[in-house]
Amino acid sequence: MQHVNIICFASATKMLEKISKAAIALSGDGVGIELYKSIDEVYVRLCQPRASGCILVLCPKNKKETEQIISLHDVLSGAKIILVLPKRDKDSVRMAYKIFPRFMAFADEDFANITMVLKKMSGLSAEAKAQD
Amino acid sequence: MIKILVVDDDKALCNLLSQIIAGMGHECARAHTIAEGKAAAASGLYDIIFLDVSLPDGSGLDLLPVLRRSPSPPEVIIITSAGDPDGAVLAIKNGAWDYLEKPFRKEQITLHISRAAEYRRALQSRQRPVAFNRDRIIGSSARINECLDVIVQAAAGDASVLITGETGTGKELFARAVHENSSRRNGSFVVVDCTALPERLVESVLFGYIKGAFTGADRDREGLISQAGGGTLFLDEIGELPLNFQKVLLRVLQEHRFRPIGSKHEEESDFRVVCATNRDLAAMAKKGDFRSDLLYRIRSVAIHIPPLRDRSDDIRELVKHYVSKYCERTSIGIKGVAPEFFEALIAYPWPGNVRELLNAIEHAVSIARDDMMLVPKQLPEHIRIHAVRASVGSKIRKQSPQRKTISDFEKFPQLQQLRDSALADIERQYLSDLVWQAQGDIEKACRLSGLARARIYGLLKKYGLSLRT
Repeated sequence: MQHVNIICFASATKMLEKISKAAIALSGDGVGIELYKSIDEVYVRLCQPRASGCILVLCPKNKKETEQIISLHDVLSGAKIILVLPKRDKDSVRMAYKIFPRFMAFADEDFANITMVLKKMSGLSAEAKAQD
Repeated sequence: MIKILVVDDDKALCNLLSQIIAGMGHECARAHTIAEGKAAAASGLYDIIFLDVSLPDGSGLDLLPVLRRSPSPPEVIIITSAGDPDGAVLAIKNGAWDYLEKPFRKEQITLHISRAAEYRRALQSRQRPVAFNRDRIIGSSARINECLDVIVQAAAGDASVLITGETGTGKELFARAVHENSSRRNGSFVVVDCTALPERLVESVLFGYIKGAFTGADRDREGLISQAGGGTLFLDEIGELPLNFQKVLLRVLQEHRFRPIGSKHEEESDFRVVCATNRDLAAMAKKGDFRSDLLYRIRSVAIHIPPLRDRSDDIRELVKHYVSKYCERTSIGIKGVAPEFFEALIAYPWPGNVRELLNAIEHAVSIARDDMMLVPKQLPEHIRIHAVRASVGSKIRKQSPQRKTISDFEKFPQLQQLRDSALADIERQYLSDLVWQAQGDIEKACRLSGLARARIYGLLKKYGLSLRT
């Protein structure tokens, strides 16, 4: 199976714990998890070579962090992005589409859906395997 | 006035066509062989080319792809005296305007010229706008320019667009270009990744739901179709959508109305749909795996992104762009690129297309670090191996004599004589290729060819070949 890197970013500790739980459920079996607490750290990481099957789970805690992520567009290209937004209002959602996420969720939701999408993106789900 | 080239060895026909063309007020030039035609067409002056299939130095059908790959490809009308349905299909597939069988009437000729001329005029008036935003679409090959021309057309309207192409060709970039150059550019570009969405989430993600619609629906949630209102809904890998959902989607695309799960009311959304797939949806529709009515609905404008191996002219441009980008990103000095580096990349068939190329460049840049120049040694091993094999293979092929044709015999051959000669040519070519594939390994040669060791040695001796490449 192809190696998949899941790179998670959340500056809020609670959110990092929540997203790492969702991602760590998939670790092993060709899936590597990396956790980052600051935008700068994640930027430095994304400047380095990464596997083509790279998935980013980005959880900005506010509008400012969303804007910072948008400004990273150059290093985000080519990665599959799952975005977890802090707010549900139309402006936040509209702004988030500038990041071109392939799945969007909200911080106050149960992360079961994110785990399902991560499984499918990383080729671990039975559905994904059936398509291979 | 437009310029027309007639490539036909029948001089009487050339005269006749010239008269008709001049009578219509257009300019006409003539060529009587493929070589002459190729040279004349290289000037890039011609809008229309009448091209005969049977020419003294080969088939006009072989010249057609060359003409279509030129920077400003002319419209090509194939002419032939022989009824050849397969040739006609091949001609159309290779981009011919039409296919005419001799003898033809004057009206047929004038009609074809008028229509092709009208099409050329319309095409020229639709030149890419100066402010056209191609974002990260790199390349200036004829194939990419053709795609960009269709994007300009698509962006000007609101029709649904289907983008096809192999994995890694960059279909999403082209979809974004449609959105960014359209009047919807200020709206959202909403991606639906059909390969990543679990079947049970498809409806709730696309349509949204209201509080209490199902267990876990503890508040209202807006769906992607609603969020795409005023913008573009991009259904990536639409071929993966479950069949039972395709019917529901078709209705939404027709009416632009949908009902969130648990809601009693329908909602409207003004979105434009762009789809992409690496699968043959027409073949899937024939097998019943994809709804044909949905296919017709999403395919108003079709854009096929060529695989990288079919636009190797773009590899240099892609390499230069991304080498400087990766060097800048990793804060290492800009590097030069050795000619052998390009040669190795051009020789490789790129099954993973541009995505695979970018990975290879990133790999090479990260390995090179302090080196001033990128050389093949820094490329992934499988690419270097392919380059070496291709180079050895081409040397062997160059050494192989050309296959004999009837004109190579001193007098007209008997059928058996021609058959024996053709068989010998095929055997010799096969053995050359086998030697290349087996790389000196007799066991491998036996396995590949299905021949016994003694038989292989016998054939190698007969044709003066050696297992060593």
